[in-house]
Amino acid sequence: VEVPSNKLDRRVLTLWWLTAGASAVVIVVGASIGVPVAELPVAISVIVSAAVVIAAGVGPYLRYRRWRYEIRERDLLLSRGALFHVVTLIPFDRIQFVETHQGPLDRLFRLTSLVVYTAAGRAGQIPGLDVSEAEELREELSKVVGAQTV
Amino acid sequence: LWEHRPSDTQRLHPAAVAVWILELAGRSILGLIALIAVSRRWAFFLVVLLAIGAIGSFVRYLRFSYRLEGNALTLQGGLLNTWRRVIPLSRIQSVDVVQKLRHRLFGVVELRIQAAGGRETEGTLVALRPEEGEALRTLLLSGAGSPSRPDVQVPPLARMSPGKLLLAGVTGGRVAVIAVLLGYLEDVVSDDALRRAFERVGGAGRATILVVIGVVAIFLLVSLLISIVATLLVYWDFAIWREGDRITITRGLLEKRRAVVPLRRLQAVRMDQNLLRLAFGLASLKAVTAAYSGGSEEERETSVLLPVGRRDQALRLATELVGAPADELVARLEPAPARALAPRLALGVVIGLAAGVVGLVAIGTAGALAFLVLPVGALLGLLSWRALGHAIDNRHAVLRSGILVRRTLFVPLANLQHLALTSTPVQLVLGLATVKVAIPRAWGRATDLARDRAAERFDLLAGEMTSRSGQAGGQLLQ
Repeated sequence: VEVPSNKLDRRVLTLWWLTAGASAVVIVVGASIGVPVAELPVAISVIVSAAVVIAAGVGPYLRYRRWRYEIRERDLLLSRGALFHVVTLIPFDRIQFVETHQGPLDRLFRLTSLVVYTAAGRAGQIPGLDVSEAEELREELSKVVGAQTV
Repeated sequence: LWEHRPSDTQRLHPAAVAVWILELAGRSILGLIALIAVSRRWAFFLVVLLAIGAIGSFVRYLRFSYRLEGNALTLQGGLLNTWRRVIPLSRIQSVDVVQKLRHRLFGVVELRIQAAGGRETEGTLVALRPEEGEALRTLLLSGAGSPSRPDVQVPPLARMSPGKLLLAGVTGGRVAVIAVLLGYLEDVVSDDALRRAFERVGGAGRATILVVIGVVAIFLLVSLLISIVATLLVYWDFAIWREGDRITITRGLLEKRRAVVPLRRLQAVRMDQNLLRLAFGLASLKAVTAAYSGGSEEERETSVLLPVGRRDQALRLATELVGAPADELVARLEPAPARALAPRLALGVVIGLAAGVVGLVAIGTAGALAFLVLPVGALLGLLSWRALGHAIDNRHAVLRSGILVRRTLFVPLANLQHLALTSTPVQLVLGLATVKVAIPRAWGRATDLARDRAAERFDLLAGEMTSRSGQAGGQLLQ
């Protein structure tokens, strides 16, 4: 198993930090309010808050560092997962269709996800590609897919 | 046989009205009984409801029509909301001829049409004359392969006698599995320890325990009986044929069914052995097809290729259907490394210890019985480890796993869609990894291989997939 060569766009790390940070803030606020309201022990509140903050800081970074993708000669290879490692291989001639996907936050960062489907369903997703890069990839993939299935 | 020209617009058999009314009555019967039990006056509403149902069914019959034209079947109907559905013949996966009790009363059959990509039946023709049903089935499937002969001349690949079905029912239920597990457990825990534990609990009241044991025994017996009866009803007169490039399955006592699955739609076959069947060298065989892996009971029954048989019979059938040398591959299955046993045992022990401690704290001395979970957990861990195995030749992969039911999946490599190589944190620490293969609507797993071996297998499969042109992807969903 080779390691794919391309990393995700750097902006996606910021995006991940943002979303993880937002949920961390919600949980920390909840844990703090829980102390006077629900008689939550202070120690537990502190431990939970610290764990969430650390996870929100380190998790996205590890995830970003592990994420790699590469469009090779005959297949698409993805490698990801901070704790749970996953390597996915999708041969071009099994691809049914390719789509690009952009959520509201993605739009803010000018990012796009590329989703690839085979007959077995959603086979893989590359999050955090630059918009133009994603379009290019989609066209490129659609071309090789079309060339081999006809 | 086919009186009208196929391109004519056709109506259902008039018995459809009665079949719909009976279906409606069957569905609402509990509610109706409840209504009558509450008050006799409600019986009036019953009459009204039935009348409405009857009128509705009659209108539905008048409005419903179907037409086989060119390369598509068109169904239409509806009074206020008219609908029209066009099913291209090339998309049809299988056509089932169903005869439930309500159809038998009028001597008609129901045709159910399944298409690729659809989760449910795409089209239902609720009442047709049996000859008409057969003829239409043949026409519908003519787009899916070579023409089939309605009269099956070739000998069946497998057939189930009543005795065999009884065997399937007795060994099929969960009860049997529990019994075997208790048997295993007896080997692990000494009789003395059990007796002492029971005596200690006995102080709490022998009568109560007897009642509990009695209730459990009756429950087990009843579920065993239900399992047997259900098996007999569903699989009565079961037979499976291969006619050219498709398989035909007939079965059923009250409800006669005939299912046809083109062989190229068969993505994989799976041999299942629960603990009891494993001990007696028995197995069942199931089909994994793109259309038939939905959730409903009916679909699961239809996917059964062999309700029960000797293991070698199941393997022969698998060989015939997916072209893999099944017995040879199974003999070559590569076991998981010994270190894969550790986390499985640990999980069982941890759960057992936790249950015991909770039992002690919550109930007292008698709660110590909960420690019995510990050997059961460890045993299940051992069983799940022993089940692991995989083998790959240049055309097929065989993947085996399972705890209470040992599942052996036979997949032609041509049907693989994509691959994954995964490691959980525990696997990373132990230097293990899992290779997962995706086929339409299912995953196959070679769990807990040594990491290097897993990477090797991943590369091998990747090479096989990219070197041959894709037969599966384009063909299935066009």
